[in-house]
Amino acid sequence: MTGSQPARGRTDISRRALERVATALAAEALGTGAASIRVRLDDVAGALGLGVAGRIGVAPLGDGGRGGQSVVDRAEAAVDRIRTGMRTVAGREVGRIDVRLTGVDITRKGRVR
Amino acid sequence: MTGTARMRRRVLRRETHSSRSRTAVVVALLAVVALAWVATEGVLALLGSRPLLMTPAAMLTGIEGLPAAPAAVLVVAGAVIAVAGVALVLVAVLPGRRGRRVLVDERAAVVVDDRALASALVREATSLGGADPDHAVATVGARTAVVRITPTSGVAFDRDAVTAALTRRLAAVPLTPPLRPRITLTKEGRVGA
Repeated sequence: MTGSQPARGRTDISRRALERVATALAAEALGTGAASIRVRLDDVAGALGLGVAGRIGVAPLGDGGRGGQSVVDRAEAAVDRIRTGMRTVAGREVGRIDVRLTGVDITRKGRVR
Repeated sequence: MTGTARMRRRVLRRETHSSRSRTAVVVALLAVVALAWVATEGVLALLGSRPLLMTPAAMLTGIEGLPAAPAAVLVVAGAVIAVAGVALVLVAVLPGRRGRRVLVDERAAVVVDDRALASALVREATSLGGADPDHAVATVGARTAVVRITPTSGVAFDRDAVTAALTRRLAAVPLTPPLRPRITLTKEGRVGA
C-alpha cells in the first residue's frame, strides 16, 4: 500500500517536550524565567489547550517600566506570542490559552539574564 | 487452461468462505440413523419380532398423544427444535465469509486477510493525516473499512483529503469484494505523540 516512494516516516513530539516548549515561550513572552512558569496541556476539540500559571516580569517602580503597558495588556499580548510560537516551533495549533498570573518577578531593565 | 481457471476459482471460494460440509454431513448422518431405525422397526414388526425400542404402532400413538404431554416440556422441546432449525437455515443461507478477500491476479490465486488490510489502512491513514498509528484502529467489514483515529491535539486532521487518498489507494488494489474506506475521528484529540 505504500506505493513506489519510500515510507515517509513519522515525527512525534512528546507531551513533555510540548510542555517544555510552551513553558519557554510563556516565560519569554511574560518576561520571566522558565522556573516561574507552570504549563498544563490538554485537548480542546482536537486543538491544543494551554493553561499557563506563573509570575510576570515587571520593572521596579520608578524605573520607567516596559513602555507603560499594563500587566493585563502584556499578559494578553503574551497569549498571541505563545500561540504563534507553538505554531512555528512545534507545529501545533493552539485552541485556547488560559493565563493565570500568580505574582510578579521584579526585574531590572537591561539586566542580563 | 479452463481447467486451472475453474480450479483456481474453487480454491479462492474455499479460502474466502467457510465450508458447510461438516454441518451437512452431521445433518445427513442424523437423518440416515433416524430413517434406518424407523425402517428396521417396520421390518421387525412385519416379522413379528420384538421391537428395538418401540413398534411403529406405538410411535403413531405416541405422536397422537403428544398434545397430552405437559405444556412446559412441549414448549421447551419446541423451542430447542426451532433454534436448531433457524441455525441450520442461517448456516445454509449466509455466505459464511472468513474475513479474507480475493486479490485479483492474472497468474496466481491470491487471498488477502482483512486484518492485514486493516493494519495497512491504519498505517496509511495516520501517516497521510499526521496522527499516531498507535491510537487508530480499523475494522474491515464486508464492503467498508472504518478507520477510527484519535488525532494529535493541535494537528488538524484533514479527513476528506485522507479519505480521498485512501479511496484512491484502495482502488488501485483489485480486491473482490471491493473495499470503501471511511474515517471517523474521536472528538477529543490526544496531547503529544
